[in-house]
Amino acid sequence: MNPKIKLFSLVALSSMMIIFPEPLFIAAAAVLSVAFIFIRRVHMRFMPWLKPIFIVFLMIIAFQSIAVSGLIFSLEGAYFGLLFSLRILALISLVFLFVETTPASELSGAFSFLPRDISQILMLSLSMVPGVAVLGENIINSQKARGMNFMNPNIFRTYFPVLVPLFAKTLYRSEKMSLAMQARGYGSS
Amino acid sequence: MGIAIRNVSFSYPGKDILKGIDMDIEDGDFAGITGSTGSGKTTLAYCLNGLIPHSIRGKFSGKVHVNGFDTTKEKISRLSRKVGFVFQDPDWQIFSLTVKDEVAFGLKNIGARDIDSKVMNALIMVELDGMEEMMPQNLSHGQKQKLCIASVLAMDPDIIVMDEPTSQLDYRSTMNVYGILKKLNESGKTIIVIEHNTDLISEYANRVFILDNGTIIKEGSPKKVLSDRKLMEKLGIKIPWVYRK
Ligand SMILES: Nc1ncnc2c1ncn2[C@@H]1O[C@H](COP(=O)(O)OP(=O)(O)O)[C@@H](O)[C@H]1O
Ligand SMILES: [Mg+2]
Repeated sequence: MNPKIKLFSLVALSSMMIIFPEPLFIAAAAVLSVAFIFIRRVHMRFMPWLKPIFIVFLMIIAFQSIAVSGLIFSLEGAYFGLLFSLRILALISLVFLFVETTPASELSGAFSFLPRDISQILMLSLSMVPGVAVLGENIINSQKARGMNFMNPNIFRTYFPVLVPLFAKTLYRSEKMSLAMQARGYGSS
Repeated sequence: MGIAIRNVSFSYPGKDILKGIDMDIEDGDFAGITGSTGSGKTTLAYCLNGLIPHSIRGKFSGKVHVNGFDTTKEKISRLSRKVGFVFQDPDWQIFSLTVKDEVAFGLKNIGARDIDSKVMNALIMVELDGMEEMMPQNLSHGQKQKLCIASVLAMDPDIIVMDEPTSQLDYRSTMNVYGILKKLNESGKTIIVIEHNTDLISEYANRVFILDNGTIIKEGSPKKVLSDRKLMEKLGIKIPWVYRK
């Protein structure tokens, strides 16, 4: 498929999901996009993300359940949380599908009609994804090597030791990246 | 012309890093800068292309002239045409989705013409031609380092600064990178490398500067500086094999 059409459909579908929070539509979009990930056979690369995604969803649902009605549990809140999570799932799957089924050279072509700054930012964030994923894996492994138990049900205990260094390293890297871009003449300074 | 650094000091908030640096690098030099980790080498390098004082916060004093231009008065984007800078870790600076885009990035920033042919020429110089459409993420570390060199070469700077280019490379890639630097130097470019490996400095550089705790404590020909057994032992720097008896 033409990468520009693909990008356009991605943007159109995602904005529709944000503008029309129809439960049926969102559920259908989530199911379909996940299904497509399997149909296009890119699910092997999607699997490692599932667990952290679901943990975040559980947190969202739990938070919504008590937040809507002021610190007491409510079904209505849980339902909102679920819908919200489904929407994020659909968005993530769509973006994942797009990136995984489009070769890098076409990907940069797909953004070429955008203003340069915007396409640069998009490409920068896309190119950072694999690096962050590898870094995350390395941090998890090194924490495991130091005896951390990832089956611990306390998600704060399991995820903080990973997220904190991941965040710090990524921040450091983006700082350097910004220097590197300026050193090659980017920006007005 | 060349680079003239006069009494340059720089401190990060609450931390003096450079303390009154004086340095001259002539056109066509192949200069090596060495010194222990944390001595301020990278910080000094940031002063050469205007990242200090324009982009990095801290207290700067002194003068840096690059090809006669005062770095405090020129924009980084203008200096980027004169000084090509290769950062220590390729993963800090490669952000495009294809090799070709990565090399074209700087050229687009300076509004260059004939971008495609300049990209190709730069890739040929580092022997990465044929890989234009590849994703930089899928290159080996040595290839990434060469891609970074190509990205600055394409902009045709007179001066190329490399911060510890070989610290993560194996022997073959190291030789490869230095081979490229030597070729560039012979074609008239000024090369400045920050390098721990004194064997490489003694083989390739014609001048060496030793930075210690923010000051240049010794400079001169590699033979004169690096064969000073007493000093090298005091600083914990390895004497190159060729100067040992
Ligand atoms: N952004 C920063 N803020 C504060 N201190 C820094 C920053 N960057 C580097 N430093 C400190 O400056 C000193 C010199 O660093 P650097 O120039 O990178 O040394 P070298 O390259 O010789 O190893 C180090 O002690 C380092 O911790
Ligand atoms: Mg350094």
